Amino acid sequence: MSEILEHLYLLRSRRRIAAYRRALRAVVRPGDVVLDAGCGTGILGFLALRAGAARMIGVDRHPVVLLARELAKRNGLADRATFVLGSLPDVDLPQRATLMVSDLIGHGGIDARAFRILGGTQRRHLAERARQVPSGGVYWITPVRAPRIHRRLVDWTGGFDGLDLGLVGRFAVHRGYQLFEPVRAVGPAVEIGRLSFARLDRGVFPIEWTAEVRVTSPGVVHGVRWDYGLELAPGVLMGSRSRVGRQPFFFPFDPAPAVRRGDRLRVTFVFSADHNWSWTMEQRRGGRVCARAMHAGALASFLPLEQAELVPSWRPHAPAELAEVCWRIARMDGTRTLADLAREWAAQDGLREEEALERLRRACLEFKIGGSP
Amino acid sequence: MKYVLRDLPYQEFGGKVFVVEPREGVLHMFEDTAAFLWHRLRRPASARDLVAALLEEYEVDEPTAARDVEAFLAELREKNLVRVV
Repeated sequence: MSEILEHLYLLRSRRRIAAYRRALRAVVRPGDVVLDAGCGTGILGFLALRAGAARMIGVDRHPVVLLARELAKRNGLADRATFVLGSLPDVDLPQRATLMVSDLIGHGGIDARAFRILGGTQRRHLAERARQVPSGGVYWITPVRAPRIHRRLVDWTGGFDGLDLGLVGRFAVHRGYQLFEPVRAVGPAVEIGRLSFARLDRGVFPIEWTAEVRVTSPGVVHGVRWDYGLELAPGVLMGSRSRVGRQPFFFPFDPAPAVRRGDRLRVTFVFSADHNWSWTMEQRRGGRVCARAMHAGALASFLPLEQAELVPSWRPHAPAELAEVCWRIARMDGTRTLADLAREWAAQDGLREEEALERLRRACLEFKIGGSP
Repeated sequence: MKYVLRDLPYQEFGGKVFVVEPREGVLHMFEDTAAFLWHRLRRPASARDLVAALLEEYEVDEPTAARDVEAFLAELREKNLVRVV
């Protein structure tokens, strides 16, 4: 982040820093060259040095890296620390690292964009058999009763001078939401999957995980709570259950099924490489399917609708890919060139500039966007 | 032979149906007669059932309706959006 606020969240979370410190003390070996990927203020790299690493290399695409360099000097670590301003997969580093530490986790512990950056970093900057902190993730779902949240997503009738805004709910139910308020579990949490981060460079998507959760309290199930824990070191998990500022997510069911004690909900999550989450629920009672709910993040987006309206020959596409291009196009303000935007995109997402430029050019042709030379 | 749609997330909007194939992250759109037939396939239906439904709803001759249904089913099979029951 280019501004201090995000870094304050990390630095002020003593539990989070303590978890990383404990993990690094367990994982760092003498002589390690540690890559602090997306280093921010450099705190994780500093902890690695304190834990016995020989060197740290901090990389961040934002100028906060200059603050990190000053902090290294003030703490007597400058002779063992190198800082590089740039996009992780693209920068040139003085040597390959034997250990990568990162807080680039993204949302929910499974984030295609974060994984793409980390995968590119593994390929380009890590030595053979390099280790990572975190090394993987564990993921749980819990069936929950959350009437207030569900109503806010689904029920758009009433109020606002009697206007019918019901269609809004059709989109709102197709995405997950960070959960900032307590919800009531109506069954035990179950582990739905585990993921190793060892070879993100080879690609891990699509991922499809299914778990069956048992209902122990009758009523209505409004969705599932999604929790994750990142394995920083053997026995050191940090995530949405750790009170470290990492939020769980709420994934709604629409319709929300009425359940009895003993009902079973078979829940499947699918994650695709284009950053989309889908989830389905099948309610079973005595071997019979009573209800289903099917959701996909792609259906929360308006972009397919726009394309369907504007381009008669519109064909199926990967919506997140299109979303990214459209978001970039929306940044055309009449003063910056395509090359400027491509440079910005490349720096932010770890693309090659040429590739970003080519994608923008194609999009301009496809959507008939003109401009002065 | 009867067909039925696979259980996939979908959205209806403005007379169009948007269906997501989650693993590939691909979104398919159906409109007009395709959207009409897609609705019919939420319950098991044969090609003959679909042709009959088209004839009842649209002013179209039977050979044309049969060709449309065949093409539509072929597309659904190709995209793995339908299963045989």
